[in-house]
Amino acid sequence: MDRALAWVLLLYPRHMRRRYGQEIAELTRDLIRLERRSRVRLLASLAVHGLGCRMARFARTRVATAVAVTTSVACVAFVNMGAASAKPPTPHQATVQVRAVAHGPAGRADGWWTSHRAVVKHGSGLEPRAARR
Amino acid sequence: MQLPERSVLVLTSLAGGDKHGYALIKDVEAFSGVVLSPGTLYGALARLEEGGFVERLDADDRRYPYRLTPAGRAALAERLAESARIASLGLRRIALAE
Repeated sequence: MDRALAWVLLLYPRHMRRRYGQEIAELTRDLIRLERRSRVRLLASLAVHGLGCRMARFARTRVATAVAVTTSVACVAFVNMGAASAKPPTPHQATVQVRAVAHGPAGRADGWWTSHRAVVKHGSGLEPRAARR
Repeated sequence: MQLPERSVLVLTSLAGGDKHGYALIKDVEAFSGVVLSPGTLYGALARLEEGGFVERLDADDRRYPYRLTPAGRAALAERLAESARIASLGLRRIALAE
């Protein structure tokens, strides 16, 4: 068996290689010799088909199941980590988010500071706090 | 078991007598125009053998002939009858539409 063909046949699952490997090699040689088919195209076709068979077999094995379970567990753990880090704001954080509003004597903002009203943003809403003088 | 198109071609070829890989490829190409690659052919043969539709005979000069089993013959007959029914219906509808 020529070396390139032997390498290509390695792409097939073992059970298929053992049962049909010799026949596939014989047939490929016959097609190249008798039918003048392109050797490169035949080898490429065998490689693609071998990989397809291997992937199909892999999908059916327990290894695939183990990989799927491990991935699922990792995804759940990752999502839970993200949820745990997204905590609600603490009171200390809320006091930082303060907005001051200036009012003039006639309700106008005329440039001098007479009073202010603090609005504390806490959670998702705005809550008025007592006005201080 | 739902038979893929390539498997139907292989079974149809084997319905005409036992054949090895090269003869199968030549026969399928002759009656259907489909050129099977060695990988496709042996992929189909592996599935058919696993399903009990074909059996491998003893080697004849390094080549293994394949034979249609009774189960394979029944499956092929059923599949071809279904195809014939669909073809007949389609042809009738085309004729009515014209």
